Amino acid sequence: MGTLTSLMDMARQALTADQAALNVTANNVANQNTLGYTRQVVNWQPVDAVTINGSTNVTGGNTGSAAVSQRDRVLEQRVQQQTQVQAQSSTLESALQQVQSIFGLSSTAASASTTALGSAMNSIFSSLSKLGSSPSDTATRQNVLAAANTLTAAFNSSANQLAQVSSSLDQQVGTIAGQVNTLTATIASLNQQIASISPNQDAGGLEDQRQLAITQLSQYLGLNQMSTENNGITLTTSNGALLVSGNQSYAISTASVSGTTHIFAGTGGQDVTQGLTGGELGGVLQARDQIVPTFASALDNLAYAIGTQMNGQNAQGIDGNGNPGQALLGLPPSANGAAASIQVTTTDPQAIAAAAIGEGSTGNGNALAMAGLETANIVGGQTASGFFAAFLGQIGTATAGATTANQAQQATLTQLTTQRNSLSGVSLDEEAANLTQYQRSYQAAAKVLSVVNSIMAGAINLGVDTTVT
Amino acid sequence: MGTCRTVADLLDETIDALATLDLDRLQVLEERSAALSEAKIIYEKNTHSILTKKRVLELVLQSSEESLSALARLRDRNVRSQWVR
Repeated sequence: MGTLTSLMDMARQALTADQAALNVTANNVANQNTLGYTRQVVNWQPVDAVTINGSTNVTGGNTGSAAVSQRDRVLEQRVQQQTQVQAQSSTLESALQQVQSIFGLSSTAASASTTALGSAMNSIFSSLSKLGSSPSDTATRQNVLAAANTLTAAFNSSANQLAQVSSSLDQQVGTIAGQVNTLTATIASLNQQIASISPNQDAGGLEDQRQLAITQLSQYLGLNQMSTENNGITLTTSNGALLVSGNQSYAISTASVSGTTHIFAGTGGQDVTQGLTGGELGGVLQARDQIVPTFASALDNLAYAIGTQMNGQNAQGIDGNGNPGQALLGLPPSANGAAASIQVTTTDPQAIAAAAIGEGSTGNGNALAMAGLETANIVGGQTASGFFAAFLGQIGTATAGATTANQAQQATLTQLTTQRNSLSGVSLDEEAANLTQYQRSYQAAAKVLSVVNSIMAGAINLGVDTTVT
Repeated sequence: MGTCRTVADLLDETIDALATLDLDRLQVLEERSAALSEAKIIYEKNTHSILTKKRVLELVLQSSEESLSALARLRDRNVRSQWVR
């Protein structure tokens, strides 16, 4: 009877184990579309043999079926690192495309002269050249002033749009900081739950949630992560400021410093803006603090050079009223901010000093000299149009480079995600095969139970009239 | 005889297959590129887009190699637990 009881117990354990395995499969299928879910597999474990008085007694088949998440931590961290790199390159590409559109550039634009600013520069020198032919003609003088107004408006518009791009990037810093703080608080809370529930082994769904939150955080900023005791994770920014430690999160804050938003993080709340890389925040900071200022500075230099050269040349001539020429263009004391503030200072066409000294007010020597500025090296050792063409070339090259880099980073992220999903994602085909296998196993165990039950009934009924079924 | 378009399509498909780690497709593409390498390519004036795609493929291959090397190194040394969890 003892053997029959053991047999029945083994069948019962097998039924329980198969039922648990079916539950694992059902859970996988149910979570197939759950973001961040890691597939679980059944880890079958045999029951230990028991030795009594020197003889070994196998008391059972298996006790089933611990569910184990199919997680590769190395791969998951590579996905997170690549997410940071890709988010930065995507943000950078987006910012550069905005800069490119300011200057009317597209992949098909072949010439700087087709852009608004390039066309305005050509027009001013062309109108000065015509003034050299008709220095006394008021309409021609008026055309020079109109071309100057168009040029200054083009500089002002480009500078203002660059400032808007910078301002928009600056606003994103505050928005991202808010998202980061929400996620770090979530991760700290999950650290606490994992430490209390599963300090020594994979915590399944809770770890999935934590990995998902870390991946989302990687979208926003560059991270370093370290594993700690009790299955915890410590997170710092790319330059070492603490974000999460155990069950404690450290919120980042923002404040305006010299007109731009800076990031303060870590236990001491230090300014970490300079060294932050990775994620959208890394891209925003790179674009705001390095890329846009470089282009804005070049535009300022161009506006300042054209303004000072034209003012200087006008001052060397005699205007239409016979007086020494004055500055035609209003400029700041230095190149800084020149593109945004350059403006025409007069509405009087006679203020243009077309005549050189000694020619009388109807001369054209100075108008020709001003027109000649078109071919003079006045900015950075180049002509104005040459400098502008190089400037546009830099923007185009930087944008094309960012687009190429982003495409490559995106493909690499897809590759790593594919690798991770092939390990951790739920395959319905595989689950269907498992389901069939566990179902048959369950049926077999049920059959064993049924047979043992019949045998036991037969044994109990031996030699008696009353039958037990 | 091939055209720039054929080369561009081949590069696009290779990048896509590499990103999704589709080995079967990569093998087919290898055969196609081998056949194309023996054909005379008619290049149009603007080859910029092909050069850009080639550059993207170079970067993807480079990062693939780096990723695989990093994963292989970490696993070989069995130091995963020291780096990440």
